[in-house]
Amino acid sequence: MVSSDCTASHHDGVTLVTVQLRDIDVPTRVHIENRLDGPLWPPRREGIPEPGWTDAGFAGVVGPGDETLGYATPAEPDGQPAELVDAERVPDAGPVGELTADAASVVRQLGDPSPPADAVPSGGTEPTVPPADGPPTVPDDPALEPASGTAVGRAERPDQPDAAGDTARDATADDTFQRPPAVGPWLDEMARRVGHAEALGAVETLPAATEAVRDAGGLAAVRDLSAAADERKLRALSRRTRRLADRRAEATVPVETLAALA
Amino acid sequence: MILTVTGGKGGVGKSTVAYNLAAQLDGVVVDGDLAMADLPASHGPDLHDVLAGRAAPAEAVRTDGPVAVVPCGRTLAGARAADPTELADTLRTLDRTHRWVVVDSPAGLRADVGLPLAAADATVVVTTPETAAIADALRVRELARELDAGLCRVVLNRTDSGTATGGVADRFGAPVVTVPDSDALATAQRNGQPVCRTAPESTAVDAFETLAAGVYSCSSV
Repeated sequence: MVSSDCTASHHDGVTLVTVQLRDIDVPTRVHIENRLDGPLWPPRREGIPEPGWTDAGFAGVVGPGDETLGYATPAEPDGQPAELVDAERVPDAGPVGELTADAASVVRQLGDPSPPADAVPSGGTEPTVPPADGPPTVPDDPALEPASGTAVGRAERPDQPDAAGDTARDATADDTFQRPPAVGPWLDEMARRVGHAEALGAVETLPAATEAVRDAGGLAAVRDLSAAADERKLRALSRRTRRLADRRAEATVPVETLAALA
Repeated sequence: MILTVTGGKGGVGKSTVAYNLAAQLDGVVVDGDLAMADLPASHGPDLHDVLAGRAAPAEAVRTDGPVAVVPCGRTLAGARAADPTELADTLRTLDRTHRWVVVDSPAGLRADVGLPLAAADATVVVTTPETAAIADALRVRELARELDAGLCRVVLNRTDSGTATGGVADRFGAPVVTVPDSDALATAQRNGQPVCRTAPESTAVDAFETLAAGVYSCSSV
């Protein structure tokens, strides 16, 4: 007969519950329920809960021998933290924790293959993406919607050395986004300078070089283009707009309430 | 039928085998390497979009090339937004509309290899004759066994004429198909073409025909 002993300890706002099961002579299916008033945080491996854990407790085959199970909860310890509600002998059950062909088991045993968040460069033209376990968000700007074809279809493949692609992307983004008049001319000027810099970088023959230098406005203009100032300005603007967009996302305008008050 | 082409080591020719096998079977090849895509890509939704819930599997199938391909995105952000555990459902959906779904799986023993194996009906393990590559391939063969993905054929890639295959077949417990080292094959792959299109008389085409016949025989068991 299985005997159980539950203890709880509280550290830094988290209660750790330990359930010790003893005297398991044959593999036994046990059902343990959380009795504390709060959500159950099951043990996880690679972000996936261990098999058998649910929101309410644990149900699975353990033993033979002694077995210790544990979970965490933000609830304060109060009375008996957990209870063994059922124990049924299942002598023919297979070994516990075996690799099975369901996706959760594969990820738990072999590791989450997603690149870590730190590896994903921030900034640039890519849409903000949620972690793998979050719901996918649809970017507000339709030009950044990958399924829409040209826009990010291009941006997703930086390995294609195709300058026309970037031009096409800029054009697509511009078509769907009305730029504020104050920024428009400055961005156009930047686009012109970036275009010249790209053209100068790509020349391979003397006539092409001559033409590219003439298009850029002479050698003095080329020297000016070679400095990194343009990139700094564009990146600074990008950071500023991103910060503003984040602040704007945080703020909610209670228009209904204000209208009712007025 | 979902067929996963895998191998323990990178660079042994998994993508080449997967692509040419799909050409022989007239199937669709899925680039399952979520972080390092390898198969020809073009515009439009890809496997990252499908796994992130932004596109349906059928939308990601490219039929404009010589072989139907589900390409994979090439950004880390895309790889992170994708939910790899959706792969099995995606492959099963493709399996309903395609007789053969060939998955080009990444190298290694992580879940990105385990997930296509877990969804597969059968596996083709690719290795080169070097000892290190065979050792890694044997590990992935164990993983396939644990995940009930039956080993259909072992492809011994880049062999020369004198390579003995008997020992390899014994160690893997499956028939071996040799693919000779071939310039025609390398050139075809670089140009995003199956070798049966660019050099139909080459020995590499014979090898892939043998492999396809072997895979057929597995499917009819």
